[in-house]
Amino acid sequence: MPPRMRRHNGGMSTATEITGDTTLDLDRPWVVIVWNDPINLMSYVTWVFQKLFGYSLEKATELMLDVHEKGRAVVSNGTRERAEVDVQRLHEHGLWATMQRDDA
Amino acid sequence: MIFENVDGGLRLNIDEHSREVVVHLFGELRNEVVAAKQSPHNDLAPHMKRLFPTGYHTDEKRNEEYRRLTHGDLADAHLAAIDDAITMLGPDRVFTTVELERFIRALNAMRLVLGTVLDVSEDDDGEESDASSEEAETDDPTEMQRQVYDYLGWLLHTSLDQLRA
Repeated sequence: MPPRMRRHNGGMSTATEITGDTTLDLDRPWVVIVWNDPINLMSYVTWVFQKLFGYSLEKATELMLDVHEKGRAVVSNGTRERAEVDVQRLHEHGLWATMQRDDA
Repeated sequence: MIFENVDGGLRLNIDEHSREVVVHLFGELRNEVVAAKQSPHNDLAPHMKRLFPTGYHTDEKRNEEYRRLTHGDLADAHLAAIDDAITMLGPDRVFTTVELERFIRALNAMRLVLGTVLDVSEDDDGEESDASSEEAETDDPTEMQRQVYDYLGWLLHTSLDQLRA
């Protein structure tokens, strides 16, 4: 089969993505992962999650503890464009965040 | 209480020496971010790379694209927060809760850079740092930097408490 092409309407990704992965599920969302680091205060990370994603204190604390104890946590998901925006906002706040296709 | 509620907002009450030190550090950080904005990511010192993380965990090609499209904006965002923080540290300056949020962001950025320089690890518990504690003199050449790092952690934690109050 020829490589698939996927067109993006915006965001910072290339206008057209070409992939040879014939099993790619285009509906599979992207996830934003925040990774643990030894410097950011737990209270700061919790506050950032509340501020950027509107999470309750309980939800934000749960995610922060996942980051701290498991080394990473998925903090948002959606389109690639949405993930790009979230990652950039997290970087503006000093958190170590990356995005990838949801492998769940 | 280092934050005082006054008409129209909050006033930060810290001693003049601490204020001067923090303003000086923000000035140094500002110069480094200005230089970093013009530098290729690979040329950045490790402590500055911490302010410009990669967007993808392993995909270097996409990371290049991410950097190309976000590096300047990210530098500008850091600079805006630092400039606001310097302004907020002016004597008798009264600032709003929104400005306090930007102050917190800038404080955190400075703490990230200093913590990276000091190679802070998980064993160093900054959450409970106490700026008023007096530790015994050591021969550690980074002792002064570590005290500043602890102070920044305390100031950040206190600022977050104020935001939640």
